[in-house]
Amino acid sequence: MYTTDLSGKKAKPEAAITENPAKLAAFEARVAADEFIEPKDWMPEAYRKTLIRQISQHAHSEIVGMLPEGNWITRAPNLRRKAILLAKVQDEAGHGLYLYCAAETLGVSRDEMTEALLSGKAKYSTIFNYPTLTWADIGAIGWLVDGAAIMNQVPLQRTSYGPYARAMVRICKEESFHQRQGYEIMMHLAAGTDAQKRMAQDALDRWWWPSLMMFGPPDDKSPNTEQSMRWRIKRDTNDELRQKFVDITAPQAEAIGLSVPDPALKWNETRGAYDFGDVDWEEFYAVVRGEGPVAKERNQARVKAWENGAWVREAARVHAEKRANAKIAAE
Amino acid sequence: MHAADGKMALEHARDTYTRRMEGVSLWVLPSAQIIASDPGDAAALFAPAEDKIYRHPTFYKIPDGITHI
Ligand SMILES: [Fe+2]
Ligand SMILES: [Fe+2]
Repeated sequence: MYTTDLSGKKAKPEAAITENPAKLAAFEARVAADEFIEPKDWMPEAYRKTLIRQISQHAHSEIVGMLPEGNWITRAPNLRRKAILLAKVQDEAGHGLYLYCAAETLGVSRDEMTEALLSGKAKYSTIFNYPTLTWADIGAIGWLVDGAAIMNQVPLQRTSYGPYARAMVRICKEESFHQRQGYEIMMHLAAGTDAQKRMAQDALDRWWWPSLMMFGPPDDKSPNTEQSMRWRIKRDTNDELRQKFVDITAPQAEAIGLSVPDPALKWNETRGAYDFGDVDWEEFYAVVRGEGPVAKERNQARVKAWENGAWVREAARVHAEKRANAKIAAE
Repeated sequence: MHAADGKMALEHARDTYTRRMEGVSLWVLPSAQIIASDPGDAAALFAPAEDKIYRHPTFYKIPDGITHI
């Protein structure tokens, strides 16, 4: 997920030892009582650090997530689709900004976060390192990727850090449009000509497994889940969310005559849930390491945008300075 | 918002905060100019709402049968 812990390492437990025990206990009690922690409140350093990592990674995912879809804005099949896609991509930029703002309240600067993204030090969701080869991929992304994002983000509206929770409330309101427009694209293609239906099926085939990977490694390989759940910065485990996603999405595929590319997918009456096949975790870890199919292009696109925008930032700064000086001189 | 000046901040705010009819006006000011209360003072600032329960209409018991009040 956008917020998956991609470090794979267990966080050092030192924080609990070095923090003031009375303050720590009061903090833990507040969090356990589902109270919101606000920027000026006392918080353990490890909580602050984990949140900065999680929120900035989430923000980066929104920003990089514009690239695969931006790729199709000029080639949307008609004006309606183009206007919708533009609005959707603009929403994602907004999501990135809400989240950068929330992270800034924890004491990290926008420049530090940008620098971490551009240098490749910061991670973002693995899903955006896959290419968008056809128009149907835009449908698959809205339906599956935004669908998975909703599943992860809805519980985060009740996350313990106030600014993050409030950003999530805004974001969730906008996400369901994203998912529905994607599903609508798939629905139309699936009901279209044979070639269009093949295109929709091909997109589902390519995006299904990477979408399941968005929820992160299996619970037994996710060492920081317990801590994050206790701190209410994660509210369901990776496997719980993945199961929920499969249960909701499989019937949606069936309803429009597409088939999920998993021969093991089968409704399990006793569990009241779908059984499904194993995710290729080797592929996931390779993408996390930066070996995703278009990881380099994504990074280059961000660096290029940053560098090409340098003169605009500089001009705006100089212009504002000049005007401020002129105002002082006139007074 | 991050912006070089007020006008640019307003333009960015328009792009970021008005996509879903969230408000009726935008105002921006430099964040350094904001004076905010300290969460440590929250008790003193917000307690009056809790200990003056007679400010709430439900504090007053009206007999059954009396309506529209
Ligand atoms: Fe988003
Ligand atoms: Fe979205």
